[in-house]
Amino acid sequence: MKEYSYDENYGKNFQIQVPDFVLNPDPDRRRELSENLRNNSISVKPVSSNKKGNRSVSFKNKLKHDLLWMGVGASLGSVVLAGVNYDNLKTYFEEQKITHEVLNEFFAHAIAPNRHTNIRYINGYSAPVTGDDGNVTYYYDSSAIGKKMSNLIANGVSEEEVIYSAYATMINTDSDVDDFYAAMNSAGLSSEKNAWALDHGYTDMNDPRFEKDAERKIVQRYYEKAYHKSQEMDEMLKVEYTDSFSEQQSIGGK
Amino acid sequence: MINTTVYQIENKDYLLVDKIQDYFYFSNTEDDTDMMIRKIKNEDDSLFLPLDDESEYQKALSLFISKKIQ
Repeated sequence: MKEYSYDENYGKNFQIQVPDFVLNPDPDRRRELSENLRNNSISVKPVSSNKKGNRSVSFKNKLKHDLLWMGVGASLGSVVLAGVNYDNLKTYFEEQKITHEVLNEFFAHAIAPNRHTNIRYINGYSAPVTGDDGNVTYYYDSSAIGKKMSNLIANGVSEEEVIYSAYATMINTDSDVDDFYAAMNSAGLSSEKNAWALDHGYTDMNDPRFEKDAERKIVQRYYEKAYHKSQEMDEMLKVEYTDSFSEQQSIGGK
Repeated sequence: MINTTVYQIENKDYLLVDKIQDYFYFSNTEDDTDMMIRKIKNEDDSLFLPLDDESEYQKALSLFISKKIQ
């Protein structure tokens, strides 16, 4: 199994699950979605509705929805974007994309290998257990996930980023919350429900300020890392250039 | 996780992605690409009205984008 390492892997191996048309603009796909949205919004009759109640959505899914909507809106161009600061829009996309990629990577390295499908047996055949909402249910190796979390923190990744990454990618149903707190316990963090959030000045784990703070730290670390990489590259090029120049001088001198 | 409201509209479940002024931004829970913007009158969310025209549609999208990049 690939070892999860802050230095070598984290933030580098991206598995992009954001809808393709947002990150890799395909004019036809964008046009199609924009047309659908327009037709669903304007050329329709009034409809009655039933409020079915609340549903929990992971931060990761919320991010995906936001990107999808922003992508459609932005694709309409200058008309919709009149009055919108273009630099801010660019920054928004860039930062959301970074956050989404980092969450995907955390999921791929820390959660997915430690998440297992709950299986039931019917007449000797295995089948996944599904919850009331039809989603497959999982059990987690919370000890292994906690270890990954504590390793990342020990390697300098902020607690906010690590906890947010786990919270955003591990919990899909209410029943996963217990596993999350077991992982927190295993990572040596507060394992009482919402205790860590309260200790850090948030109302609870779903406090939007926590989401914002964690995303800011993700983006900040990403840029710092990119800056160091770029400096390393500059140094390497400088050395190569200097060596090559010295060599040419030496040849020319003969 | 965040809590959001689900509405059943024409036998399909829609997630309320956002609400700005009287505009409701919906995504189908089964199909992310099935999206729509509707509006309400007098705070009555049992009846969703269509947007009047292209200009109102663009205004509603503009509001959404402006809110997100604040």
